[in-house]
Amino acid sequence: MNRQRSRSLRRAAVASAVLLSAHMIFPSPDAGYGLNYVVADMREPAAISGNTACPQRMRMDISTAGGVNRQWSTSLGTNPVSILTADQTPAGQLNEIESAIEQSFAPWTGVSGSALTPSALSPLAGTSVQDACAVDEVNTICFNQSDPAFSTGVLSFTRIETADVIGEQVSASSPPSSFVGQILDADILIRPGDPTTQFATPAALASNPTAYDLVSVLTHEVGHLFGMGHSGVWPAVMFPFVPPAGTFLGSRSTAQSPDAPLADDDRASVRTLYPGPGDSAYSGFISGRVLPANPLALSGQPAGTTGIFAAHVVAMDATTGAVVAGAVSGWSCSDPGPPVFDGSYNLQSLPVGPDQEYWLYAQPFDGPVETGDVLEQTILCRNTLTDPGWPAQFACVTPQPMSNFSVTKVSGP
Amino acid sequence: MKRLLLTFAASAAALLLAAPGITPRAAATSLASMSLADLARAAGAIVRVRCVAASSRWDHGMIWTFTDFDVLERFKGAPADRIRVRVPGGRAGHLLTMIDEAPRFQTGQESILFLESSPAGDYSITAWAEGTFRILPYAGNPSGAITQDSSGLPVFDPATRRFHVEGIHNLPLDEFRRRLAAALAQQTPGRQAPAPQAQAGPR
Repeated sequence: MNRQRSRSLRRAAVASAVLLSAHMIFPSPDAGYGLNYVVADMREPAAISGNTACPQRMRMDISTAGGVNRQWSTSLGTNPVSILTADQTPAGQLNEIESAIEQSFAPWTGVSGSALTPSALSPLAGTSVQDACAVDEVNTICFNQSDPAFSTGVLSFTRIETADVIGEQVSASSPPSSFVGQILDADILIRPGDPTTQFATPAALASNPTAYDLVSVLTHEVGHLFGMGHSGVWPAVMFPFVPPAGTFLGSRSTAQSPDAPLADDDRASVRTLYPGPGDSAYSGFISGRVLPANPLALSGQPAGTTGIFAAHVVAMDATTGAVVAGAVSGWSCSDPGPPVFDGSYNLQSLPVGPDQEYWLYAQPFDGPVETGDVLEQTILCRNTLTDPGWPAQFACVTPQPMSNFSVTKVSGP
Repeated sequence: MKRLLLTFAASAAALLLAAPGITPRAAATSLASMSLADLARAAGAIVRVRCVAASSRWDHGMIWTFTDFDVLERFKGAPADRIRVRVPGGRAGHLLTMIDEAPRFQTGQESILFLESSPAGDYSITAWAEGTFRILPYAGNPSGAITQDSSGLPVFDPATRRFHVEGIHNLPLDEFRRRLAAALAQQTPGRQAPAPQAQAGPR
């Protein structure tokens, strides 16, 4: 480690701390962690583009009770059996799997301080159609649908359909989108018919130690269904890897603690994406910027880049040592956009209180990392190269993650 | 009054070497955890490629992104000089299909891909993000370094209060070649892995 570089990063840390204080008064517009975004098509009239090039969070419309429809395909693979249950009767199998599905939704609708509540969900319907996970307006879970997307090693995935304009439909009969980034259809597909991959309900897990916990897998996928991205915080439910076969993380959901399986980072994401009206317990935020000590380090970046893109920023409760929230930092946006790459981060929906203290950890991405690797399918910038005819005033270029420096550790807890 | 304490944690070297306190991963929600040897065994072709074009369209009832690559180097199999790879998701008109861990490529970008034939006659990527390794210039490795898509995000472990990365991350290309050759040699009885062509990398 270069000593001069080490000192520089200490200064960068101090500078960031100063900016943090300022932003506690004037929050930066947006940079939630573990969420996916889409940029509206600014070539379209303002009435359907929403008139902003700021990335919009992908999320369900929960403005009406029961607005999130749900069904699952009761068609199950039998050769081999992919979903293991304790009850071997046909009716008992279905009941057990349906219960596992409900257990997977419960944590996400049981987070205090969030508007995402059980009332947002429609009753869970069943369908005997095997290939029910089509692109339509019905959010469906399939256990026996062969799909060409399943290459070797792909156990399950959630396919999200959204739109970059208002008024778009996924099918001729489906309702039009009412906002940019609205999730119009979300289907969860579990790998069918694989002799090397089996999933077990909670009742069957102990006797099937080589099977993956179905509820753990589904809870993670349901997080995607609601718009959550992956978390870089262990052991969040949205951490990209689920527990080893035969095990599950944390606690099972209960009537008293429906969100027990979630980590605080998961809860913060739900509260950020679906904020509860009038919530004051989780109204805290920490925002600021991660800056290079030497601005010349940004010389290879697109014009206008003034901060580090990207860094993983984590807030830890100074008393309990629990990670409260994390975020991938590096940008901010004020309407009508486009985003600016100023190194901003914004940790939202944090617990507040007179004795609430946080440690903040930041790790700029090191090494050769592509934006898409980390931000997954998130789209931050569009321009004439990605979209012919894109208006120049709304164009931007997403920087490559910084990789030409390393960081050092300064004294901490 | 809320008080903020700020620290930068974990040197880059420690990041590359340490991953304490994390339960070994056995599976991803989307992806089975596969070692380099697992990937090499499952893939029908392993190639170093350069992206030349990518476009999205509807196929099999959903939106796919089809990416054309020039093959620069073959490690396994004998794919044509130009190949097409399908990855689920993409944009068609105003609709977007988003699937986590499904890789995306930009024109000119170089990668090493683990591929398997798809029923449609093109290729799909074995284990998506796990079977995708980006080659990028890096200050520490002028000849290029390689990072697995699934290891892009620094992971924070509250037990150690450190960030770390998992999988293959920032590995010199020559060292990756050596490891891959060793993995392939395991599958071929009697075949010897070639001698390393470079010094061992940081991992």
